Amino acid sequence: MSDQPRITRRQFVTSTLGVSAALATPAWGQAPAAPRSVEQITVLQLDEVASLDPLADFTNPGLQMHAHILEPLIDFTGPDFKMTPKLALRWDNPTPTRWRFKLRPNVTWHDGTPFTAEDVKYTLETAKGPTSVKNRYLARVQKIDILDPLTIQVELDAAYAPLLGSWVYLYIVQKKAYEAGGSAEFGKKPVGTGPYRLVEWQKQQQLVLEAYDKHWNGPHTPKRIVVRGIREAGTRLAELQTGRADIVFGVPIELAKTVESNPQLKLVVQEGVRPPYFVFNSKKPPFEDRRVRQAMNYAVDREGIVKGILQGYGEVRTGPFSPTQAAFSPSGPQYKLDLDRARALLKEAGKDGGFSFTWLLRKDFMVKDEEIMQALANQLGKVGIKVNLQFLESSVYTPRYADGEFEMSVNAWGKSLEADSVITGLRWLSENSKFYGNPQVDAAIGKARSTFGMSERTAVYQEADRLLREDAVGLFTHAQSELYGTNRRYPWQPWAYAGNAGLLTYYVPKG
Amino acid sequence: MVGRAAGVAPPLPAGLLYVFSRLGQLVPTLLTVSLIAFVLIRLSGDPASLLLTPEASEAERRAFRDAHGLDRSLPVQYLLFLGNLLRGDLGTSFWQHEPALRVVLSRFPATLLLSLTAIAIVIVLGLAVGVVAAMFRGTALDWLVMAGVGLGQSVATFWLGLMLILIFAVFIPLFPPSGYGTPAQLVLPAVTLAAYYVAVTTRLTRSGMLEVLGQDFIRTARAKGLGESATILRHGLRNALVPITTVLGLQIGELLAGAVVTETVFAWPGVGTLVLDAITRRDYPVVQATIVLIALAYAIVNLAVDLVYGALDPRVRVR
Repeated sequence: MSDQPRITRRQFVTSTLGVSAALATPAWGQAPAAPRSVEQITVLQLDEVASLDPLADFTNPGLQMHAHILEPLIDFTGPDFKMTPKLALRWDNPTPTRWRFKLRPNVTWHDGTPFTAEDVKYTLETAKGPTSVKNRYLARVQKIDILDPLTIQVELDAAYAPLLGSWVYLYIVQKKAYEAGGSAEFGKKPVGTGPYRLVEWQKQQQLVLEAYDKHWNGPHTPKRIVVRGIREAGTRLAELQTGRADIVFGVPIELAKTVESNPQLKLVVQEGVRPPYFVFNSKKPPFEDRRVRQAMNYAVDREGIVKGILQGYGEVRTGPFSPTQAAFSPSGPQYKLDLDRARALLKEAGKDGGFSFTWLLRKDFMVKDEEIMQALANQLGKVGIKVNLQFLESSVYTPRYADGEFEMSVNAWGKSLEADSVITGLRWLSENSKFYGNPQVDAAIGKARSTFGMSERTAVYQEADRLLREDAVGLFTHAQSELYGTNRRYPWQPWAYAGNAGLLTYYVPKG
Repeated sequence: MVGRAAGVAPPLPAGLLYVFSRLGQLVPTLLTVSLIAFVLIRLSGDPASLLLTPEASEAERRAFRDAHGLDRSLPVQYLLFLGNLLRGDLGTSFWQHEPALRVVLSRFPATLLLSLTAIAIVIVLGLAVGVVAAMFRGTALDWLVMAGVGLGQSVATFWLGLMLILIFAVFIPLFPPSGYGTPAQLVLPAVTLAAYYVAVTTRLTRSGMLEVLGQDFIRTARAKGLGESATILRHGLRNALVPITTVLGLQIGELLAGAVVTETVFAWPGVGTLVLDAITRRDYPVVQATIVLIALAYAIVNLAVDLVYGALDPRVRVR
């Protein structure tokens, strides 16, 4: 538990586990998996669920459950974030600030009662309240009106075209149950409209979901999903190896081979879900000079990190968006290792004598953080930049990051649908940033907010991406892959929802 | 721990009085513990930064601090905490939105089950192996036991747990790797937790027995024709037990608090896993409630050990 032996001990144990597993496999053979139908699957998350109230818990383990039990109005699902109507069938904008949603008819709550506009109004109003963890998504909402039992109208204070993409986390709760029990009761016994209903929850042990047979889209498979949270990676893997788990999150790179070499198991690799972004403080020397920022982007060996340290489980990144994302601009600069160019840029900036700076980092912010940071420090050393790495606990790091009290820092952001949330969330808008500001980027995001056509909006986002990359807002290096271990009897593939590649359904998705 | 003068066995009220006075001594202990817990946790960072997302605005942060009283000065926060403590209110978990005391108490049965099983293993195995090793002193058996003791004392719990999972769950599927609810799921964590303490107890019993067995009264017992087992158990072990009880008592307290690593490895739903999670989440109220409750349990175990002394050795009964 002390910080010092953390890394070494884990590395030691995982490597020991991997090696001894590899050695012992031929001798003992594989433990026979208990015959069990795919009627029921067991999923091992990294952490326990705090609350099933979507207005009280906004952490990943919680969101994974909310999305099975509850539903938003509109969702964005699958690898390409396809727009998927859920509780709303259609919507339109009578004016730029007015959103009208036509709700899906014949939807029932898990207790059998019908879903109506009353529930939506109640949810949105409660979500706007001071105790809600999602009130920032409703800050622009002025008025919510029920036009008829299946039509609801929302009035905003200003045009905000990416609204649907930012409302994916607004899971609709049942008014009756939420009013009766409040957040605490609803958090334990939620009543939703989603494909699965909660049948049992023993805290810190297991949570059992069962397919809701009266779901508007028909019953889903598998019938039962058992969810457990196990912190220790070696233990999660042992559960998978013994056939007691079907999907296991967070397989460490050291154990990937153990999964791959087992004929009953399958390693599922998902590309760059939560890439690290190394952020420059563009308002402090030496990083106020964009040539210095660009030089650093030419001085690092991205391939080396992905191949050497991540053992290939990652991809190279040169900007905030990956080439598979809509907001990626093909015309932006493609940074790659070019030491001559880096030195030339530093010389232009008058920094050819080199300089040194302190790099503010958050513990455990990415896979293999210490190895990668050491490698980056060495690479930057070749162009005369001396790096002092400072790893801090997140509770100390976060306020310093938010206040811009750093020369260079780090953040990570989910691979998500709307560029707006990425750019706002990473504080690259002048209005919410203490370390970056670019009127052209501000203008692009402002323009996107009133651009209602999806392809037109994407073009504006691409312009913002090009500007941010040209400006070298950050040092972009790589995105580590997510590794999942699965049992072959349940052919699971990552299927994203909420326009967030890090949030995945456990059930078999329907169209 | 107790250096009490010898005396005559007391009448019951005096015994009760003793128990009450010992309970009274718990108050300053618990006050100190609560103060340390309170200060240490608050030195480690701002919970608003950890619980809210980095994108949270300053206004959201302020609202969070207001709601949880984090905006007041530390002494005021501590006094409020103490006042609530007296009413049995240890605050509400930031993370689970439930009373912290209830959260911790709901995890106690699992930890008690694990600890009591481990203690049973420690007492039975530690005493038995220790006595046997002492009886066969200098033989290959003794040597083997001492080698095992050395191993048990030096192996890291974390590593031992993972190795046991690998061997007895993955390669030879005898037990489930983790979880809670069936007796089979109890075996590996209980053995992991007990291992170190079995080693300590074995070593202690062996040396205690060797010391006692060399004394005159054992020779007397043998001389008067008492059977070997009666000599060893009734005269030898009983006399060797007093120092062992002291150490065991301390260990049981340690074991209650030290189940953190074992519980985490085996995903055991006890207080250990809870407190580790609560620390990483900066869930102050739960951490505080756990520390106070563990301190209370520790103190009660110590009290029980002192009372057991009296039963074992009439000379240390209180006046």
